[in-house]
Amino acid sequence: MTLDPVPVVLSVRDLTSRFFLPTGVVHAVERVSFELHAGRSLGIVGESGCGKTATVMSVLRLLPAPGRIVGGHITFEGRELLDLSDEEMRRIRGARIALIPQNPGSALNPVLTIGWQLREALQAHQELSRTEARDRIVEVLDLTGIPDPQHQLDRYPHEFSGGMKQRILIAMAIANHPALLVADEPTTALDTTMQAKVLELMSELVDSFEMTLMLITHNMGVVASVCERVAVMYAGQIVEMGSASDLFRAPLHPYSDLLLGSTPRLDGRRSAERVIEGKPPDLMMAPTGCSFRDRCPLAEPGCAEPPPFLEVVEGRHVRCWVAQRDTSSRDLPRRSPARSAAEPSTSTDDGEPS
Amino acid sequence: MTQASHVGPVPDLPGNVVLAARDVKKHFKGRRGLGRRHGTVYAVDGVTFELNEGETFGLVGESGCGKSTLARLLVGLYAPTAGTILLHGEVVNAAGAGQRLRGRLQMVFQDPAGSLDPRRRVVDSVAEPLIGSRARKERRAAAVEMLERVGLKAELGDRYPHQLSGGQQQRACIARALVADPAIVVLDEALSSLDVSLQAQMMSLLRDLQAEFRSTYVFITHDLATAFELSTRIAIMYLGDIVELLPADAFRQGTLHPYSRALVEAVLVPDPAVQRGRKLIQLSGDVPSASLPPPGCRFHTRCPYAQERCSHDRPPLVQHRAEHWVACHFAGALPPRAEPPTSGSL
Repeated sequence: MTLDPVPVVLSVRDLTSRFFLPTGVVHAVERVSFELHAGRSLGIVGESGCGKTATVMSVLRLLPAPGRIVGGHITFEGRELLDLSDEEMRRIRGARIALIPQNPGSALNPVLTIGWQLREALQAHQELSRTEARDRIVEVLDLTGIPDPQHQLDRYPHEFSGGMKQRILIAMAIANHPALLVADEPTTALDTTMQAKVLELMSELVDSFEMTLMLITHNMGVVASVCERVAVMYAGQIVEMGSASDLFRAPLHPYSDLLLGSTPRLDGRRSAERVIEGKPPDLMMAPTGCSFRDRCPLAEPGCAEPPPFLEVVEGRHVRCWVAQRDTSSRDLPRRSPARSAAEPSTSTDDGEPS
Repeated sequence: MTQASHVGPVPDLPGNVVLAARDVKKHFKGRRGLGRRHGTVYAVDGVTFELNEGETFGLVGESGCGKSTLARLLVGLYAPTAGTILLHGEVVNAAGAGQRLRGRLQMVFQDPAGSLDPRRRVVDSVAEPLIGSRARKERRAAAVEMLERVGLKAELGDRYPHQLSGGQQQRACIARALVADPAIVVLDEALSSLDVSLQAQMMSLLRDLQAEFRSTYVFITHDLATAFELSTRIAIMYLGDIVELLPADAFRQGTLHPYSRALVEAVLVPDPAVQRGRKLIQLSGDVPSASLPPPGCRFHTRCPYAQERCSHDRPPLVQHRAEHWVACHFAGALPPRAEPPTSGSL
């Protein structure tokens, strides 16, 4: 909440990005708003095509053409990123905001040694001598659990396994001590046992370096193990946002509920009967009404009107008419009158649960 | 059960055995490459099991464990280096068997776009397994019917693969696999590239079709949770070996092999309350190369419980409980919980 003493690192407001294709306009990101407080972690979950990667690429201002940010504000460490020149943005990227990419196999240059690539990442942002850079590289590689780092610098990416490559990329991301770490499906390409290890490593590093983490994934298990807060995206919009423990225990939006219900799990509940029928809407059409209503078991005529994104319980936002109505009548913890009076009604504030 | 490689885990289920794999091996010969000699790759190294009619046999393992090689062996795309695979008593890879068994063994691949001919209408691809057994018109009618059964309207069948979504393409692949009433359908990571909601749709479709056609599925995946959802029995593979084989229902009582336990532990539960503060079993190092598999137990180099014996004595697959087979010298004697004593609770 506004009472959270921790400063806001990243604030995204009404971010809207579109892809202008010859065949039409893809509404990839529609008025997405969230805030990230220093040292906290936010997971953005959703299925393919829901706009989670487009959101992140917009924040990094790396949205590939024909994609373009058409509206909104992105404030990072007090600066409006959308007003910066490309050169200014380059100085932030890799130094203050770092990205861990999805596919470790293709993110490293196959014809350069890893030592060369790590040094390049460092020297792009810091004046370092060769030996200083080398010491720093050995240090970060050691932190990410690469055995015997000083002897690995002259090796090429193909000499490492997928898990090791992802560790090298994590080392590269944290080398400049960024404030914000953005991880786009960091473990999707990895095996189960390696995935668990890499996630554990990432959490530890985020804690010890006091980084802020934004993690994109389609895997509910990954969010549950790493993130404090979760934003669920559907058809370019955030449909629900709240603390991970609240959202996983009692999701408010029907989509979050069904998504959780159809996630296979090992701990007993074999409830594959909950299936989301149909497919996501065509993003070539401008959204009308609630974008989930065609697949929603709770849809009613009123859902043809676009639902607002409202905070229905303290720290929990949802974009659903039914959930907003039901939550206000249900016996859920309410906002204290004093606090809600202190807040502007338009607030899309994204506070941390205590 | 002295020699697991020759005495297989024969299920006590009353079902009919459709397929039997006996001590199947597939080794890929080393080749002289650019200045470097590559050794033989022991992709599948002595695997024995049977499949019952109407069951779903989940084959789980991480990359490089040999599960896809085994899939190809089962449908006759590879000839085994040693051992036999019998379909209803007939050797799958005997000379000339390919023709006779066409349509009896079907496979659905991970990438649906890449496994449909881009220049043919979907309905023609779906009808293909019937070539040789039915007249042209009948083939088309059967294909249209099967497409409808998997949820694709006839008009979609007249389209080309690129005009369908990924989910629709995978439905078409499932229709093609089932159209000729196969004895066995091998699903090789068939759901892995799909979104959670599509995965759930496909699993319920596969279950319905199985109830209707009594098909036998071999469900190959790296994802233990989906295997658990769909399978009646689960086999866990490591470096070319089945290390544990158990009914899916027995999963809750716990797995016995240290590798299976590590794998179960590594599955992320979509629940922060469970996931927080959970300490994982740390397997040391990476999976060894399949061209230099360690002697003795294949897993001993990474096993937290390994003893001296494990480094030279390869444990056979032995029955420990009803229907529950494990290849570990110390399977019954390990600590009851999966964690080593120092770590936290689940």
